[in-house]
This record gives sequence, structure tokens and C-alpha cells, in this order.
Amino acid sequence: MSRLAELYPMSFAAVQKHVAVLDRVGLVVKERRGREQLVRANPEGVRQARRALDQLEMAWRKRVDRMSDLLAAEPAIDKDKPTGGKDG
Amino acid sequence: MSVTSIDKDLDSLTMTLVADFDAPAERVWELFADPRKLERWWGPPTHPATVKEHELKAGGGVTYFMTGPEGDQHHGWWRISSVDPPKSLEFVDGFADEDGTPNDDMPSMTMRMELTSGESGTRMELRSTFNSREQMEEMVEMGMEEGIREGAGQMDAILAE
Repeated sequence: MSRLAELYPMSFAAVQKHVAVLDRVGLVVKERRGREQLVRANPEGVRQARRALDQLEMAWRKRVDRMSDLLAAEPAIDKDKPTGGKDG
Repeated sequence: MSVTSIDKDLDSLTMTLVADFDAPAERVWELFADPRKLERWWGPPTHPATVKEHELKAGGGVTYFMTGPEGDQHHGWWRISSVDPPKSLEFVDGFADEDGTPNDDMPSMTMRMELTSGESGTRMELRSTFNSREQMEEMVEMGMEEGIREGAGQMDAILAE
């Protein structure tokens, strides 16, 4: 971890914090070897996070399409709000 | 018009979607605020949603279920954290047991929706965050099942867009 920290223009504590975030969401794996704390990428974790976000994207794209369709299907009929004119 | 941009952040397990609608903010807001409208877009066509309780206020909530092709029901809920009509809505979306009781062991997501009015319509920004890595994994598994059930036809249609 200290060697990793040398690569970045930030403090050891800051790097440690970033690694902790990546570890929490499973993008890296921490491993202790003697006095050393090793950090390596977790490709399966990265894949899974991508897959989850891709699924979420697909679900919301479909939702947005349905929202658009609904808005287009009932143009400006505002039943709930009184308008200036006569009843539509 | 629909989705303008999508940003997916792996570190925070967050998706940010921006969509532009050709309608005033009040009408986009109605899609969330009117339960009858909400149920027309929340669930996929194979799993239409039925909204039961619907109270859009901080501390309030929404309960709903989606009905699958074989009559299978999937219950869900929103817990509203903040609401400012017709501008922003923040809530946690989760799953419930078969009787509609919120099940905190099942995955949930935090969502923040914001509407801004522009000259030609309304921009919606939606941030959706998996609340933990475990929940994200469960969601993937559930989503895959769903995807298989929905059938290849629908997937092809979407991929072809």
C-alpha cells in the first residue's frame, strides 16, 4: 500500500481512504502478507458492478421511454387544475 | 425525447441518468405523484405495477406490487426522505414480503430525482445508488431471472434501438 501511495500525489492516508472505498464496493481485494498490505484489482467485482449498473441503465431507459409515451399520449389535459377556459 | 446521458460510477455504485421530456415539470412530476400514472410506467409491460398506498411526503411512503405473466406478485415500497413538488424527490426503493411488509434483508436503492424547467421542456436527473455491494449482487441475480423471463424478443428490441 505504501508503494501504491508513492504513485499518487496525495498522502498515504488519502490513498488508504480511496482503497477502503474500492474495497467496500468489491473493486479491489486487500491482502496482508507479513508487514505488507497488498491491494489488487478484483476483476470479478468490477464485472459484477458493471453488470448491475448496465441492468439498472436498461431498466431506467425503458422506464423513461414509457414516461415519454405517457406524456405524449395525454397532451396537456390538466384535469386537476382549473384553466382559464371552459371545461374541456 | 428521452435519455440524454447516462453516467455509471463503479466506485459509488451509482447511475446518473439525464432525460429530457417535451412537457412542463408539473406534468412530469405527476408521473410520480399520481399513483394511477405511476403504475403505468414503473413496472415493465410483463410486470405491470399496482400502487396501493401512496403518500408523497417526508416520512411517508408508497407500497406497490408488480404482477408477472404467471400471476406471480412482487411487492415493493418507497420510503420518502424528501419531497419538493414539482422539483425534487428523494426516496429509498426496496422489496417487500408477499404480504407487503418491507423486507430489509432484500436489496434496496437510494434514488434522487430532480426536475428543472427549460425553454422547451423539462430535464429530469435521476441518481440511483445501490446501498451495498451485497444488495447490488442480489439485484443482478434477480434482474437476470427477470431478463430470462422477459424473453429474448424484448431484449432484442431494446438492443436494436
